[in-house]
Amino acid sequence: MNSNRVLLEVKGLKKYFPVSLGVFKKASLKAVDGISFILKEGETLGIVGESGSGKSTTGRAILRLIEPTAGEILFQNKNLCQLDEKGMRLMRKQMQMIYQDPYTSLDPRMTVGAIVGEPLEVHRVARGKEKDEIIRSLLVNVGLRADNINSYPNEFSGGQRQRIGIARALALKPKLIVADEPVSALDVSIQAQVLNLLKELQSQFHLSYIFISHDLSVVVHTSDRIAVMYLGKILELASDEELYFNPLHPYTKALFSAVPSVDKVSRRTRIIIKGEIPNILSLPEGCRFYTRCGKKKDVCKLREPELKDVGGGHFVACFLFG
Amino acid sequence: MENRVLLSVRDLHVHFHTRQGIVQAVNGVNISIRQRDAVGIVGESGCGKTMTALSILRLVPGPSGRIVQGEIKFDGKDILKLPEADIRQIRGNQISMIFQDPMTSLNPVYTIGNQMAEVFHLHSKGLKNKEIRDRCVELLKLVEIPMPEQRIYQYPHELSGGMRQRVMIALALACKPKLLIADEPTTAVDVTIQAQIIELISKLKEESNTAVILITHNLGLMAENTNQVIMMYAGKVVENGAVDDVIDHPFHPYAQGLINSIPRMGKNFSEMKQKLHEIPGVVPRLINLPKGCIFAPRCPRRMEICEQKEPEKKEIGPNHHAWCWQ
Repeated sequence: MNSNRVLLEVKGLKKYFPVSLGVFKKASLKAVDGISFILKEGETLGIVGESGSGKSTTGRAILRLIEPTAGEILFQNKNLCQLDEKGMRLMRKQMQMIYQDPYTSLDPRMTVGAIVGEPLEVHRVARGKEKDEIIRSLLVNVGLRADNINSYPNEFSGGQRQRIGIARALALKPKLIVADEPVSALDVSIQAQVLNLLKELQSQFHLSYIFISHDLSVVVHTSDRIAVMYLGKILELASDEELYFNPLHPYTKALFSAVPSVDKVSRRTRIIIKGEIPNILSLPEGCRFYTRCGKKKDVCKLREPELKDVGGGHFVACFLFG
Repeated sequence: MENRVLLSVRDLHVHFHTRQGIVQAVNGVNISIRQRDAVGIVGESGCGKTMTALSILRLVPGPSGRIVQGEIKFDGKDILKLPEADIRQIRGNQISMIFQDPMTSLNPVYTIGNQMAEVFHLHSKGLKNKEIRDRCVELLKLVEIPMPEQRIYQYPHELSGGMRQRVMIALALACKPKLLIADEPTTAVDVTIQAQIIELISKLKEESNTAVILITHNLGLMAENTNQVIMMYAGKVVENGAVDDVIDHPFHPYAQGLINSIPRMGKNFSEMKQKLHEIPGVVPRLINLPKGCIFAPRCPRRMEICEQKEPEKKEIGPNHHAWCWQ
């Protein structure tokens, strides 16, 4: 199912937010600071990182829900950044988003039918009876009942609401779905239901996912390739298996070891990284991870390492390698 | 030091009166905790784990919420029968609690030092201001907050989430409690900070011989940091026992389902990528509970009796019980 055709290519994507630090002092918050990756058709690219790493900003910038500051986003070889509003709106038919919080991302005053049908109306895909038919079959696809069409979001549990959000994202038959923490707000047993559903839908509708999460175990479970972000940069990018067995960057290693495991036998020795994520407004010079790294060298303080291929599509931004 | 029972909760029932009816949030919970125990209470949202903890401190939010039945004995005292003045001497002093959200559990208009001093004003009267200040600095040092002398003059918003949670831990430990209840202490922080906080709690536990109740929905966190586990579902205990027994040989279908529904880091890779086990359906609303086992509607191995009679406690192994008809 995983073809070799590239669906999306992101080159040097940057997103800076202006912040004011007083009347005369202005600064820019470099939420995403020059990242590049590709997404193949039918593939799931996981983006994992802690809060403030820029993973959500990346997801939104790809869909141009926020304007990127710099960089190129090539979707099926078309540069999205050069499209005007009308052109972009047409493109958005093919790219949809699933949000984290199923309680705030659905309008409580709209029926399920209106929520799921809204994209169909906006893009003038279907109306009337035909639209209702599409909505009903979408609801069945995501594991709800067709007669839920006239219910309101408050009649549903968190997991069911997330299914409504997924049905809405599927309505226009998109190629790409950006799922931003789609299971973080859900209970453990419901998480499994939604993760399995996303996987089923992927093969059924030939979807490509960008799967954003802070939960490493969820990302490893769902993704084909994984990018590890830290303070606006990708520190490591590799296939799921490669990253799982052979994480190279000290941050990735620490991240893996920090996940509490139920399996005693295979608990890795914990690497506890000292300190906290530095203030993104006053980043250290050199490597961003320098302040917390247990393996730092002199060079790390002076220059910023680039993301390099160390073999077999395993990219890492660290002076210890490559 | 002998290992006697520090806290025992017998047949606890907590009800909430709402417009829709009576919500049976906690429904006959039994817990027994010994000194030096680390007990994990796990379950999904709405299973009653937080309400059980709040009951121990008699902090169930009234007037809608009420402990309607049960007995809570702490250190020989009957918690539910104590006058309010006495329970205040226990709260924060002998039993203290760390809450989930460090953003909302500190008062934004007082400095860190101010809020910490309050504990000493309440529980160790007669201390001079300078002594209190020194004690606060000492505590912040204990929880590894850098530059504690300056921190006490800062306000909560000047601290990061992880630092705030450390302040909460410092506050909770100020009076050297016998029992520390940590309610989802790391849910609001990042995973690398979670590792730091958990290491801190277990270090402090070792040093001061405090018993710990860790309330969490994270099975991995529980497995690594507790020795006893109580698994709750919809206001009831469904299984309890030593943590390794419950994790490795869960008996109750809910316990099995829950443990199999998480992507398990550390399992071999192909297993990690397999389809996750699903528990069908959703957690029931706790109004007008059905007869019989409350998990029956979602249970893959439901029998006739499950829908008629509530399951009784069943011994699976030494110190390992489940409430199930199987």
